[in-house]
Amino acid sequence: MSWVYSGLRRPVEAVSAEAVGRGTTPGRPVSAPDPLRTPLNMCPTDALRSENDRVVVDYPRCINCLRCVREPPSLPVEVGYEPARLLTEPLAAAFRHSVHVRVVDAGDCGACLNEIRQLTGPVYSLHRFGVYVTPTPRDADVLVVVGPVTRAMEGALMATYDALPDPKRVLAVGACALSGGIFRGSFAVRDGLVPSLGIPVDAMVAGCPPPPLAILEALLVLTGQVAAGGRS
Amino acid sequence: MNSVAAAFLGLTAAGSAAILALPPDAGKRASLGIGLGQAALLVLYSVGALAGRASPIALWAIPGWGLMTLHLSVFAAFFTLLEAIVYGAVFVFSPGYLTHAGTPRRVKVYLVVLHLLMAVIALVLAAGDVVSFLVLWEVMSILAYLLVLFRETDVAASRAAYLMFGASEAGFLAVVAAFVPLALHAHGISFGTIARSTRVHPLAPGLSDAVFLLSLFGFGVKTGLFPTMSWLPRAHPEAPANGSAVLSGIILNLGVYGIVLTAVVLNPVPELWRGLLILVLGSITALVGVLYAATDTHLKRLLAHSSVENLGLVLTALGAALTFEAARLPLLAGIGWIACLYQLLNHSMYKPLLFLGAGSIDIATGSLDADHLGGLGRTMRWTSLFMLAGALAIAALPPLNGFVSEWLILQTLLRSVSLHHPLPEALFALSGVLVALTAGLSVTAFVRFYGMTFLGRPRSVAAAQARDPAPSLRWAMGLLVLLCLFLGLAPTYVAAGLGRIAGSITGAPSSRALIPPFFNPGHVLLPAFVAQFHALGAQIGGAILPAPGLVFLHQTVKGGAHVVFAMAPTYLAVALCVAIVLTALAVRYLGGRMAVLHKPDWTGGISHLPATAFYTATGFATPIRAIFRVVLNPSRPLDVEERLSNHFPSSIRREVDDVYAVDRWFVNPASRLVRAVAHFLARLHRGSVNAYVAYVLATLLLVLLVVRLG
Amino acid sequence: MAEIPSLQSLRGRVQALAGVPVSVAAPPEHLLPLTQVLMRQGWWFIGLAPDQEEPGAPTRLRYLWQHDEAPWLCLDVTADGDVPSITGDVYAADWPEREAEDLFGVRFSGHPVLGNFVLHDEVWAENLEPMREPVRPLTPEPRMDVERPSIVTAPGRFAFPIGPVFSGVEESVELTIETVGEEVVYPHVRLFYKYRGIERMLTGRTGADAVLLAERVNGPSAFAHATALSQALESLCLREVPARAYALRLLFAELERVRSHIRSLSHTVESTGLSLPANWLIAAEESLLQLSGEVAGHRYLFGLNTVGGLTLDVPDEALASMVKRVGRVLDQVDALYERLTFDNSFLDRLEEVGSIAPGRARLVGMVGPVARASAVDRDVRRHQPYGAYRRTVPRPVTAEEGDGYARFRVFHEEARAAFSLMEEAVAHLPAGPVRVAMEPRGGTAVGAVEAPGGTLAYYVRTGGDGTIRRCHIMPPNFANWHAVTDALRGSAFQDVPIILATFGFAVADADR
Repeated sequence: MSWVYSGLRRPVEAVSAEAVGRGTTPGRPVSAPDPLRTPLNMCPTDALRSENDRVVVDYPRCINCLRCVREPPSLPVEVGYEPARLLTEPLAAAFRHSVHVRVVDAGDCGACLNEIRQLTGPVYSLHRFGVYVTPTPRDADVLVVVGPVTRAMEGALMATYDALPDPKRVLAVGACALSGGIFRGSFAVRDGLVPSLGIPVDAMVAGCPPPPLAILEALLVLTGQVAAGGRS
Repeated sequence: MNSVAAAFLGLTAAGSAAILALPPDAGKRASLGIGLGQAALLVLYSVGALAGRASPIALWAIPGWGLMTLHLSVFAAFFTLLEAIVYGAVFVFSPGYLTHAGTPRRVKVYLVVLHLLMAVIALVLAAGDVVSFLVLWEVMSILAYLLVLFRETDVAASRAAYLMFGASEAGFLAVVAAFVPLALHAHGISFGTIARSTRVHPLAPGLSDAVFLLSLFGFGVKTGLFPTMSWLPRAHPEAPANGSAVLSGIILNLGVYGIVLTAVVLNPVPELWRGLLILVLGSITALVGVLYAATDTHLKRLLAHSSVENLGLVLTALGAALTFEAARLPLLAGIGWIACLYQLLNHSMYKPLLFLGAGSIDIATGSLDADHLGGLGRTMRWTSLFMLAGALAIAALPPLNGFVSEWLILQTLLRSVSLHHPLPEALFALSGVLVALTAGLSVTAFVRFYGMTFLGRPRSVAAAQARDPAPSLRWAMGLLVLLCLFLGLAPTYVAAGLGRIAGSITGAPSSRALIPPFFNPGHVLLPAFVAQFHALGAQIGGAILPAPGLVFLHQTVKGGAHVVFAMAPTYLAVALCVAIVLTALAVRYLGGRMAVLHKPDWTGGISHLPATAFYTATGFATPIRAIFRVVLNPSRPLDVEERLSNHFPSSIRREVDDVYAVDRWFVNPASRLVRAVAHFLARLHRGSVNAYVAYVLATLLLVLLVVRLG
Repeated sequence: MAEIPSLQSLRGRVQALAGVPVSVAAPPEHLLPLTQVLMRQGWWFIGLAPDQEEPGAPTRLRYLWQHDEAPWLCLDVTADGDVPSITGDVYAADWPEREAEDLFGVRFSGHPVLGNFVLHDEVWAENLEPMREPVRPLTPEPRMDVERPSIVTAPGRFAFPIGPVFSGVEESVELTIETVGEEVVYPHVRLFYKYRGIERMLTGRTGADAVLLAERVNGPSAFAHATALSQALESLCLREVPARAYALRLLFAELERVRSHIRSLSHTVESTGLSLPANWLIAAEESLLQLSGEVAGHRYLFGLNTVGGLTLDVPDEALASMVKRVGRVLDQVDALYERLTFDNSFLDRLEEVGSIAPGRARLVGMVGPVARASAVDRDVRRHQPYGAYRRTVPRPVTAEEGDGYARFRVFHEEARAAFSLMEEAVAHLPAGPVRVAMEPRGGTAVGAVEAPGGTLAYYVRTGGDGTIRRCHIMPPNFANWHAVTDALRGSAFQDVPIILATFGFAVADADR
């Protein structure tokens, strides 16, 4: 009881969804003009492309190493995050204030998973939006996948996806789940949620790891509470 | 009536001979016909006797001591009626069941023993004098021993049979010792004579107490009364299932009959402590029995432990009844009697049912270990249904019969305030606690019994391939299920009948204590009663009051406070049915758009569940084993670890060697004592030659000395 | 038989860059006696790095041993045929040998359990040996009928599989508990659901790219991984990193340690069901994550370390204020810790659960704070000082009991000690650059740091152009997961999640 009392006396203030800052969302390189045509192979994951004299960042591949920021071509860094992309429809309105999430770790390094854990903590307080992490896929509406999908986790991931009742949505979190990230090309991983897995990705959030706010936004987009920023 | 008796005995003798003479298959078929005939005749005779139309049959005279007679009293007729019903089911069950067991010759002998035992039990109950009772009792013990000995090549079986016979003989000696002073006192062997004589001139107090204790021990052994029941859970499971049904459903009752015969009819001294002793021992018996039933995984042994529990409950109620009688509270005593007989009746219905079901499982899977069963509900649908009914009944859940009797027992125990004496009240409270605990644990025990056997996934190949037994076996179980259902749905009618039976030996019809006269069938409701009913807080108007005779109601006023209980199992059943139907309708119509999804089991993501990844009956019982460590005292698990090389365990073998509580507390210390004495005596016998020479010399010297001095 | 150099002579050879191991070559038949000699002399077995120097050549097994203030000792055995298993003497070598068998096809005679370890039988065919050149085709061959180990015979025994997909936000790992109900009779751990083949990916990479990959072995201790690999490569270049870089590495490594230990505490508290203090601890962790993001541009300090120093300099004032903020967070954690250690219901769940006796801890090869909670006083920062730790020495933190509560105390105490280190380091910040250019050179080196989880070592062999030819990671969690069987055996079911939480495990670290 005494814990409850002290919890009431000393609440932890939750950040608002707009509280973008260097701590919560350290930043990402942004596209910039590059008349010098710097060699772009300095990016360890081939996330830089040159288009019309501009360096363009392919965010699903970017692993936030900031090498292109700290070394030439010295792209500008922007405090913030890449908005979530919705690839299909959000869940029906019935799910708007009660959506259950099952997280599957498909070979994640631990950072994305820790950011999701932070989401359930008091600072981001996922629950205030009616989103809950559920112990069993049987109750889940959204499958959150982190990690590059290792071969050993492939079967478990498929089983979890199959165990979710319809209607269901899949959210791919982090560069690894989107493209394999830095693990792209390893014999032991599937380069993220590739189409041949048969798990359709409904929404994705880039980053290595995506800051909690970005994941939060992605979940809200999936449930239709927020309009998608980067619908494609 | 006597012609019915003669026909019954004649049919038994001729039938047994015929079964022996016929080839095995024909013998089995003949057994069904003969058995049904026997059962029908016995029902006829019992019903006649219940109506009071049985007359004594004189056998031989013993000069100076009177006649040996057979006379089925009303009270004994209740037991023969139960016997006839159980035997009827057993005979329907046996031919199909026994095709799977033993050599044809053994089966034939076994059937004959079964038929003869039926007659002998009936005769024991009809015995009207000490001598024929004792002789028949001994014959019955021998036949029961043969039932258990069916698998004589099995060491455990023969040892269990021997143990049972030994216990039975010890009890027999005690009974003889109890009857001798009674017969000497009355100078006659007839029960009637003894009863009349002790009523006029009771035995000397010390002698009377000794007779009571001896008979309680002698018959208690047969019922499985604490602390003499360690043979029971070992012997009963060893017989084939139909034999176990007879042993548990009928022969255990005879012990209760014996206790009532001596304590109420032959040696009636209204002393509080006698009832209290039976009460306390009975409730301890019940708790020990249910604890083992809740933790054992062998289905038949589990049922045997549960028999100990049920007979313990019967004796608890009997003890309460005798205490109230001694305290001159005939109404409460009557309730106690009804509770006692009701529990006995119920146990004789559901226990044979469960044993027959266990037998069906045995022949379908070859195993009785609940750890290796599971999932039978899908493959043995009928058996599963019958066993569910049996398990609900024995776990005392409404609307089945067990609920009524256990409820009555608890209510009886709650009446102890009327005794106005702190010690008996405390003992009643203690027993009440033990019985309540027993009732709760028996639910756990039978949830586990049913769940681990019929639900979930099969834990062995045999369990996965099980099939329902032949129709005749299902008929036998179905018959008993119907009886359980009837006893649960129309309890007030049954209770009224039981009240009359109890009244035949106590003198006061006790159903009036429980079912108010105006509630009995045929009476109109009196406004006074309606008012009384409302005073209890019942929100029922006069117009829609329950139909006559379907409510248990008892009310006493103590110190201005109403002490009251009321219950209507029939209405409970109706309400339950209505609730189920309404729920089904609600689901059907309100949740119409819901779809059912069939998905593979969620395994946590592993490719497939290991074949052994299912909860076992042992696992289910582990918390109980831990909580009731005092009684169950699970031996410290001994893990034998083998290593392929340093640090790598390759096999861990855990052996569990639990000793039965009663053995631990009483039997083993006693047997150690006996051995020590025997060892000491044996030393005198086995001395060296020199020692013997010394004895001889010493004796010679002594004799010489005596002669010389003399 | 090859001679083991005397400790005296080795201690004389400790240099500033102690990463280059002293190699002792031995034929397989001398392996066991030499191992016994090393054990007698008090060497600690840290790992087994299999290495194949030329395509088609036999695998060289490099048994890496560590001793106080001595350089690494590398027992070099060529696996041309069967190699005797050293697990009879060094139980800690159990999993490293299994790993070498799976990845390199080295046959260890006398090891009772081989195969189905790194490469799960559900996915991969037998004898794939993916780390050996020339590589066989690495196509998965899925199977569904792989049986789980079963060694317990008892009435009513059943298997209780847990995972790999757990109920909360947890990493993927599988536990199969053999039980008769309520009690864990024997647990089997199955790692490598998250095997990403990182060591294979590191082959052929340049130093800077390899560090980025090493960071992502285990995100929550990314800085330690990056430091260990950078140090190994730097020691090959025979060039010191600027003093300021060392100082900053210390600051960030200790910041990471504080964060990681708070995370371990929060897992422990959460597992006992006290969600309020657990959430406070999660909030404390978040403030440190935000601090990292503000100071270093990444919440998990990714991209900060590189071969030759740091990619980013941080002004002194920012570092000072960072340390102050860490202190404020730790003050809150301290207050919470005080209350928790007076909460009987909390202590009851931790005391005497998952106990590992000191001797056993050393035998199974435990490292780091969880080993120190079992009185195994080993700390790379103190016993093989590197970087700024050569001047700024942490105070030792140990406990005797080896139970869940001891681990809880050590995690807290070490977070405190780490903060003291930070204060000390930030008071004497050297000026200058944080990065020097490194001339790539070929050679073999070991880089070891005290990661939040314990001893973390990288074995690296580079070619003349500085690219990595072979990199073997010896992560602390791999060593510590090996102790789980001991910790869980005989415990009650409801204690299993608590025991696991008190270890503060990271699965990604062990799986690689």
